[in-house]
Amino acid sequence: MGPPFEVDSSEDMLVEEQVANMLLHQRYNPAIIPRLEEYVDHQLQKEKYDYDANMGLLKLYQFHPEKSNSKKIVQIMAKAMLALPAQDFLSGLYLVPQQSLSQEPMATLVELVSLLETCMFELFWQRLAGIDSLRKTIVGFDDAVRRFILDVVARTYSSIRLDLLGQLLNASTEDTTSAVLKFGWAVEGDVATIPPNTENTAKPSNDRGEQLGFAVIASSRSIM
Amino acid sequence: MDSMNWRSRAEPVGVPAVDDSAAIERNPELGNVPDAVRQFIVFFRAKFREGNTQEIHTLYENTFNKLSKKYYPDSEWPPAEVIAPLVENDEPFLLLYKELYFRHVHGTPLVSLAHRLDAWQNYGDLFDFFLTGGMRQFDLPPSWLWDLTDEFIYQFEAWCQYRSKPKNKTEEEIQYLEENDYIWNVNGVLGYLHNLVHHSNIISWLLNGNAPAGSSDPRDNNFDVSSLPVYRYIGYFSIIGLLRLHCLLQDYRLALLVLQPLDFDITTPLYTHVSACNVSLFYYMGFAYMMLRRYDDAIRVFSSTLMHIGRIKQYHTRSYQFEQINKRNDQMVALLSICFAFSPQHTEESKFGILREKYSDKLNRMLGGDESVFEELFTYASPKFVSPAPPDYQLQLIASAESSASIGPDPAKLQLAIFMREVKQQALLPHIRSYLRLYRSINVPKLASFMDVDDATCRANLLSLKHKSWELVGNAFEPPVAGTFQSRSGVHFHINSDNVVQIQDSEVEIKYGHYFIEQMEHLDAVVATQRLKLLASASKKAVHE
Repeated sequence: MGPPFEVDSSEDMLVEEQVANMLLHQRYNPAIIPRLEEYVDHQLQKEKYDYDANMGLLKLYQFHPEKSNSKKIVQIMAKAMLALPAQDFLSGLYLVPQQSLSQEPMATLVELVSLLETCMFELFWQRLAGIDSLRKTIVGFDDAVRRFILDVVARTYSSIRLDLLGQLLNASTEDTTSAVLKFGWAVEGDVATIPPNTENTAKPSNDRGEQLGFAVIASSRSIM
Repeated sequence: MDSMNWRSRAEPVGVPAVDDSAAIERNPELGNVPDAVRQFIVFFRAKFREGNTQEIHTLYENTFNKLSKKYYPDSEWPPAEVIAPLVENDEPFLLLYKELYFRHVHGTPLVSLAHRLDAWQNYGDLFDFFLTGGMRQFDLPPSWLWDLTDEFIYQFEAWCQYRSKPKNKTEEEIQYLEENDYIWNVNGVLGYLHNLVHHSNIISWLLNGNAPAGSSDPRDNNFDVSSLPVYRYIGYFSIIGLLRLHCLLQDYRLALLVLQPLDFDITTPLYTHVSACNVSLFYYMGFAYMMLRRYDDAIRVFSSTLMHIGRIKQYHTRSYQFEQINKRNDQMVALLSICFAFSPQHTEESKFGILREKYSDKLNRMLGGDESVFEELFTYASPKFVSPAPPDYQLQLIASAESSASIGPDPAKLQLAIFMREVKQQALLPHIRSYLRLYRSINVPKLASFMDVDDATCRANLLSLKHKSWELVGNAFEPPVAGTFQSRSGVHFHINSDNVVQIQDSEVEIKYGHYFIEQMEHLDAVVATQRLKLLASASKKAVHE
């Protein structure tokens, strides 16, 4: 096993480079498993995220089931959940061994992600207690979930009542207000107004007509 | 050169008779080999030594298959040791002969543990021959290079299926498997493909705008092996092999990632040189997109490939690849209809001819939330997933040798379960979408009562429609994994603080372009078929006169 990772923040860059380099040259070498596992801990503590390295670790577990560590798997998947709306959780889930899926806290985590994906946010917060010990090991867990919720809300609402938003975020009206102000939303009375984006405003009508690129035609005409 | 040009010229090669009585004397077993087969082998080897890729192509693609059908429909070709005296023990030729031999056996019910083991070793010898520069003095047609790379992964896939089931295995065989984990080991398979990519220098060739970065003169110090087509192709096909392998291993992200260096940005990329390669590339790429919930990209890839197949089909009826291309074609139609069910804003494209004919009923049932159709189509159209790790052989020893079920984790079941999880999460979305299309504005409680749910559920559904249709979208000319988030909801709406949903007139943009392209292609196919018929009757006439 290699030397333990430096935890000093000025060394973070170095750690990431080391891991990237290690994956470049020995992605399939089971000898790197312990270092990738340490690197997961590093990410949990430092609020960092390295999807490629984590997927590399899941892959090594898949090739060497006897070295598989269910605690690390669930930590990786929890971090992947926090990366929503990116589909990291989904692409990781395909690699998780069948028997791990039925174990706790993995089974609850999978349920929780379904709640996030179907935007049942109030239920999500209610059931979160089921993975409390896992959640505590991940710095910035609640904030990351709230960031995702705010992101979906911002694409759905042009303005929203603060008490409703507070329910979705599982936060007091005060905390909700200060959170949305940080994201540049305007608050007036009990309503937050979201800056216009392509999704929460009327679309400019498309009067350019149908666009058919040259490449599309060219590729269809180059018969032989 | 395009493989199709050879094909259109594929007249039967006159295989000249040879006197091989001396060889038969040395090896009496040869006497049992039909004359035509002996002559073929001698001639084939001669053309291989000459490096005549056009003739090798015809012999490989046509003559070998004809002879297989005639003499070995359900038995093996003569083993390499038997025919070796015919070809003066030509080692490189025998490596390739054995590749054909094992591929043929793998297509019959005769394939045994010994065959699988020997085939693995032969692939090792053959790839080592490439990797040590042995192939520098030879050349092979691209279609053969594609087939052998693709077959390598197929045999790995077949191996994984074989070892996961106790059926038809003796105790000794199970024990042997347990003790010899190196055979068709996933790291070995990955290792060969990566080494071929690396050794062929194909990445540098691609990065250099499809040209060798170094010298094409073997005497030069900076000789670039990618200047030799045989290396360029095997390296390139190994990249596409890695795509397939990662899909079989359920790592869809890595599957797309390995395609990073491919030449998607030029008019005739290397993958277009072999039709089977073209089809395989986009089948696996589209599948990976679908699994990563990138439906728009999957639809783009599947529909352009299906159009392409429609165009080339008539040239392939005699080819070894014909059946495979047809099967992939049907699977892609099924996958395309799944993607349309997830992404119904493509209403115009869904009028696609093939879908219209075969899948309009199934598509409607999927849009109506019929899970069984999703399951049926997914099972039919997905690749044959494998477990990279060996199974628990001790369990197989206890299991009945009659049982055909696999023991231990079943990757196909798991992939289906995760796919169905997505289907369930999205099940309500077509319903909400169709309600929203009826209004320009409606308040949430009213919508909720129409949908027969409470306000909170209705709100969650609206948010979920936004979330699920927020997907990464790439384009045909960028690396496949790249993309930007875009909304593909098919209905544009937003909600305000008074709980009113404002829906924009979601008039579907009518697109004629693809319709016209489809019609032009149809016309091309008709013209080409007629031309072939005319040519055939003209040449018949010429023979008679």
